[in-house]
Amino acid sequence: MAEASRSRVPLLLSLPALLFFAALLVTPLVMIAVLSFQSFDLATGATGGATLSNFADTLGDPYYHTIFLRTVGIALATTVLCVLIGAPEAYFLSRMRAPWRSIFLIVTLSPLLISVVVRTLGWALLFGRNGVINNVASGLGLTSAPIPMLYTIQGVVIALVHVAVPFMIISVWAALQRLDPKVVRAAQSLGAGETTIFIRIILPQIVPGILSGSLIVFALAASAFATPAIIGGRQLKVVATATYDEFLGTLNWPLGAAIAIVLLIVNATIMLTYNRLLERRYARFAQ
Amino acid sequence: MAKIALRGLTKRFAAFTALNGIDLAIEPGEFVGLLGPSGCGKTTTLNIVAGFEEPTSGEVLLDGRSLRGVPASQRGMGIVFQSYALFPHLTVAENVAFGLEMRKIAKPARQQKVKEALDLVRLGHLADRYPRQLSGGQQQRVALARALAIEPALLLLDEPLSNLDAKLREEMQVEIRAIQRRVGTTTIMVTHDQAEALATCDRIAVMDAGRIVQLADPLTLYDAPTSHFAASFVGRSSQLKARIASVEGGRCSILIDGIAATVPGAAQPSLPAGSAVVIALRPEKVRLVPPKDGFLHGRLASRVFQGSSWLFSVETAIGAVLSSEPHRGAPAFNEGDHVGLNWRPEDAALIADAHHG
Repeated sequence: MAEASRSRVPLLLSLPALLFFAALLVTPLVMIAVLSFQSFDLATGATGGATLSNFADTLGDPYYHTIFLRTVGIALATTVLCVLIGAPEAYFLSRMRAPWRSIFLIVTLSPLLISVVVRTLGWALLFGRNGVINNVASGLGLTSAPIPMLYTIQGVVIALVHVAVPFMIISVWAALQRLDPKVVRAAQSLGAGETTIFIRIILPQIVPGILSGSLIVFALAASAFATPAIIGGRQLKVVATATYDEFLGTLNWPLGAAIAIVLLIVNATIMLTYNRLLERRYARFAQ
Repeated sequence: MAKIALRGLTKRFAAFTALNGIDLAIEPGEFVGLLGPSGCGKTTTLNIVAGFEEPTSGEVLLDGRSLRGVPASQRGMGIVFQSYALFPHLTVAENVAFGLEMRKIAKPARQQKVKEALDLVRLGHLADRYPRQLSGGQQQRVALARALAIEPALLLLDEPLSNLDAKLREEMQVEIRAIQRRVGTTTIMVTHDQAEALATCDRIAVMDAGRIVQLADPLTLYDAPTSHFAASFVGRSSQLKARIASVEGGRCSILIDGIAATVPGAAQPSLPAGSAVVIALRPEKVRLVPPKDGFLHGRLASRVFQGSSWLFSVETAIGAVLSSEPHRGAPAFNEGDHVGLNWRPEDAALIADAHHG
């Protein structure tokens, strides 16, 4: 009797969180999924029924192909840049001395303290034709014509990297904390220089951290809305902004829902495949 | 010429002196232990020799050449860490090969040396395993093989055995000693375990508060500690405050403070009549005898069976004195008995005592 009731305790304890999760995440998700199978009429909106036509539109239209490829491309570029910037940065931070380490860690994470909209508008001010960067560059005589940055893919990627790089740093930082610091000394005593130590000893051990950081960054970048909406503008659509337009512009909710579901599936597939590939490779020595 | 010499090594941090003038010369092939409690400076000394820390003043000479400014990666020292510090993403063989790769040794020669190093620690059969698949003792041996594979100028062992259980620790002490004898590499071992230092080292430097308080071979250190600290840190001893009453020939009479008992001792030139001393008595050198035969008397307070030996604690007028004897059946005395204690005069270690006059 006591045994049976005790085994129910964990379930009961996690029940509030489960209900919360179900109410706020699973329910809307299921509603979107249901919506994506409904047919649409310009006059009456979503009309119920079960049809695959929304998915056929999404998957068959070259217009959406471009948007999906652009989204995945932006997410990939953002992820690669975050790895290249975030992993060494976390390593340098971890090698700093006592007061500086925490000071610079906070500085690095500080973008997370500012609203994403405010941050992105800041980038828009920097990027514009008459923005800070172009004014400085032409003032110094470095450029004759303004460099296009606002409303370009490069501009979106730069702003997304700024948003996402703290997540990479946190993730790699956590992996570095698990590292035995004596391992670096052992490598030094065996004759390895700083670069060799980073590439041969540190990097392979923080790959799990880079992997999980990449997953977070990719997911954030692929589903980002505010940054592509502000920096990319009306022309440079990504999946999230296209979904927004279907819902609130053309009011074609079922099509918008179908686009969102396809993005979810693409995102989940890429992440799971990536995760499995790398985890298999690094499972043999990871704790 | 000494293989490695430490000259006046001093290390100061803001408000703390970690090392206060360490002088130590180690001969080629010698196995020297740095023994002391935590915070005594032994690890700092090792870190300075390894090149992980710079001394505030003083220098380290390797084969007569100063190591000042030489980075750790150029010193060619083999180090075994307490945490083993194996590379978890490399196999045992790859771990051992790492230092050889850094030395740009061609693959065939490298493989040969890896095999030799692993055979030396009897782990040849585990070459393709990853460190986490090995036991603590096996990881320790991989660390030793990795350090020895580079044929280091010096082998540095930093508390190498303190993560192992007691039985394995004793086995590894014997094994490390045997391997060191075979390869002949000059070795410095840092340890806080006096039994480990006594079992493995040729000479032991006992350290306290950033200084070497005694440097001696294990037998001398145990039998003739020169300080109160060395006597209490190495092995067990009962310490009695006393004063040399008279010196005659090779012997002296010692008056123990607090009771008017006079006991014999071996005279030392540095301790003339009238010197204040501490008598340090090792338990195994103190015999439990009938009261009339004892130098000291007291009540047998406790009698503890320890397997191979018995440990007695005798409550005397000036405190507890320990005695032990090998187990050869039940002892002649029971708890509560009035007993005497005696010892051979030369077994009483006399330590000059500056603190009481």
